[in-house]
Amino acid sequence: MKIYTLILATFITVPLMGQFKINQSSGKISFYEVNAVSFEGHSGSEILISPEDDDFEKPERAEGLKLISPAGIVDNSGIGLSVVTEGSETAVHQISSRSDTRYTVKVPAGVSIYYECTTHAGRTVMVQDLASELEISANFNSVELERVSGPLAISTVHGSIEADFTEISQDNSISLHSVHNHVDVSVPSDAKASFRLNTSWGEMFTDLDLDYGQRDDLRQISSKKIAGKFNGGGVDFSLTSTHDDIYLRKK
Amino acid sequence: MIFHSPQRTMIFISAKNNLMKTTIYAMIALLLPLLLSAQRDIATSQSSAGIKMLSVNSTWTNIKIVNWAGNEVKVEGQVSINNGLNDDAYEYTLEKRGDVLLFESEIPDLDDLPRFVTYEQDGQKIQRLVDKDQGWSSNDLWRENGIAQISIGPIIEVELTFYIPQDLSLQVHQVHGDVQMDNVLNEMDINTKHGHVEAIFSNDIPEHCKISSTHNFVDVSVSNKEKLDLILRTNHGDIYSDLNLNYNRARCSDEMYNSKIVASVNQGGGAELALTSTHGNIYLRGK
Amino acid sequence: MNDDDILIKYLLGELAEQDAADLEARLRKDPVLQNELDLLRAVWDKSQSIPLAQPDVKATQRFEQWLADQEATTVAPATKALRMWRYAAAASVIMLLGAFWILQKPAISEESNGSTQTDLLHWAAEESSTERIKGIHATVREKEADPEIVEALLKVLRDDKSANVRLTAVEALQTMGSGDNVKQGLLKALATEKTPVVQIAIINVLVGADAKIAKEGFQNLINKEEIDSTVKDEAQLGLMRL
Repeated sequence: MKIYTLILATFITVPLMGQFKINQSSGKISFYEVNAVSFEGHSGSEILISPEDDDFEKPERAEGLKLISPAGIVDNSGIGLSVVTEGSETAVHQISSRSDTRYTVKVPAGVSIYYECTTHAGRTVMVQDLASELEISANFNSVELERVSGPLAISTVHGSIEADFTEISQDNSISLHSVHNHVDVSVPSDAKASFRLNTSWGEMFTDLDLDYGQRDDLRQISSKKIAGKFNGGGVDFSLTSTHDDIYLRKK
Repeated sequence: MIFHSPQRTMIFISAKNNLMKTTIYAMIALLLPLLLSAQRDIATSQSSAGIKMLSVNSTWTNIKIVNWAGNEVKVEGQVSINNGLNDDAYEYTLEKRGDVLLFESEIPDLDDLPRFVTYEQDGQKIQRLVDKDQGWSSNDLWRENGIAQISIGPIIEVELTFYIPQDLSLQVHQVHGDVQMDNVLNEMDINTKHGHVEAIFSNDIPEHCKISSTHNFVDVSVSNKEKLDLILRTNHGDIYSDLNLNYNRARCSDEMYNSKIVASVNQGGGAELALTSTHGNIYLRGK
Repeated sequence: MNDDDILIKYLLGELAEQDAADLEARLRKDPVLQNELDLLRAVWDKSQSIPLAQPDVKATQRFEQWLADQEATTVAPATKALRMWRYAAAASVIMLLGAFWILQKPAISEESNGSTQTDLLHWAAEESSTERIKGIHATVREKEADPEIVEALLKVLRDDKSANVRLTAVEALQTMGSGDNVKQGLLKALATEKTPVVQIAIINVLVGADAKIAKEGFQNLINKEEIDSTVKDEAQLGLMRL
């Protein structure tokens, strides 16, 4: 068994064309204006960043030249990104502000992720199998999360947030906030959570049996703000959609 | 070379029921083998005495510019339109207007010229004459063959070289056609719409150099010892360089569809180089 | 600078290297000066245990008592003038150190009952944004609308570097009622906040609280060129609803 694992590991660490490796298994990695990213947790001890198709596009004519940007940052990774590590913090900037190359980022569980993207060029952030803390501050990106078990602080102005949880750690705090788009979340039927749902102009839909608490003998039957406990309550779970709808589903 | 060898070019005559048209096309088919070897040579020149500026206002021309020691502007090259069939359709003038030498070119009867559809199939370049009234896009034949690269229109190949003295200021405005400059040291303002611009400045560079293309790339090589003040701009493209740039952060900007780099090389204070490509890339090389 | 200032700066670690070396050389030769330094240091050590929440009067009274005790045991020539000088110097140290603390984040003090700013601020130094968000939720959960909590939330809204944490602070302020302190605080934050999602949240909380005073603030946002157009739309909507 051990021998097999060793051999597998060797295969995994053989670098693919155009992959960038960062020796970091704790601390934080921050992404600025990297338009299209997919995050994945993995059991390795490095952060791996690969452009889609493992081959970063560069015109033949640009052979020998570096992609440069008005921000004064330079592609030092060979894959259209500036990657700078100081101590246990890495900052990643995209050189070409209009590029829609999608980067897959594999992250060890001990590294927390910050993602910021302010322009129209922002694409859906795909997240799967992630145990790391994830913070997203986006204007146009939508976010899709699958099998995410770490703490989340996600806000987007124009994008939607869709999340499918298979387990919810009680140590976490989860807040998902969209201004103009919907928030759609599925949780396991035995999850223990204290939900806070908030919408100003949208509707809220749920098939969860939430305990809204009572004031005197009255049940809350309608509000644009709902606080309800699921399975007795637990992790702080806040869903907000200012102008659109919220869906909270049982798996 | 503009001439295509018979092996590479096969000219088909599109079958039409109309007898009249068939006759005309049959005639063309007979004449073409003779015309295939034809092209039109161009040569013209004007004295540059008393001239301050050369202004080139042209289209459908690939232009190469070089400096020379003569005191005249000489233009020479070849024209081939529809493989020699319509060489005369290209018109040009080089004349003196006050202290400006003006070169203009155009193809006034462009819309009346026979059109060819040019495409690649099985590695071969094929050109087919298209009937004026027939819309090619509705023809099943094209769709069936799954042809990728199609261009349609008269086959225009014009290559001109401009020999110009260094002391004139140079202004070029091109619609279709590329511009290539080899160590041209005139103060310049070069602009192309659809073509690209390539310029090499091996040892020296004009004090003021403005080069732009709307739809295509701009590729400039300079000596990396040159002192330069740069403005590099693109709306939809990317900027590539290997020079050691000192960015003027306050003047650089990167908006959604508008990127601008303002920087200096070797402390600046030397030549001012402004490169712009709206839709294409900018390549700036130091040698 | 007179000796008072030099000694106080030395204790606070603010003397330049050369000046500190000069002072130390002097101290070795001048026992009176050394004694004054010892006195100041003793005052400083003692005042570290005085909780911030205690009223000044009590602190002064305790200090006076302690000073009296010190004078009874001190060896230095205790002339009246010197006593007054020591009193003034020490009092100024207390005030200086008091001011010093107000500007710093204090550690949790068991004696500061009801000082919610301190409670809240203990997690404000957390590296993780989600931990700070948890901190906000924990604080707000148990307490009723409390002016100190409002102040603390407004401080987070001003200072936290994470837009998501600031957003949580705004959402928490929404539950703090529609008192003037909430409205004024939010309006002030709106003028300086740069992140669209937080700006929009503030606008909506103000609208929800029917804060008519916010009208001008909203109009300013609409007029400012650099403001994101989505934020301007929200401000416009807000104006219509107010």
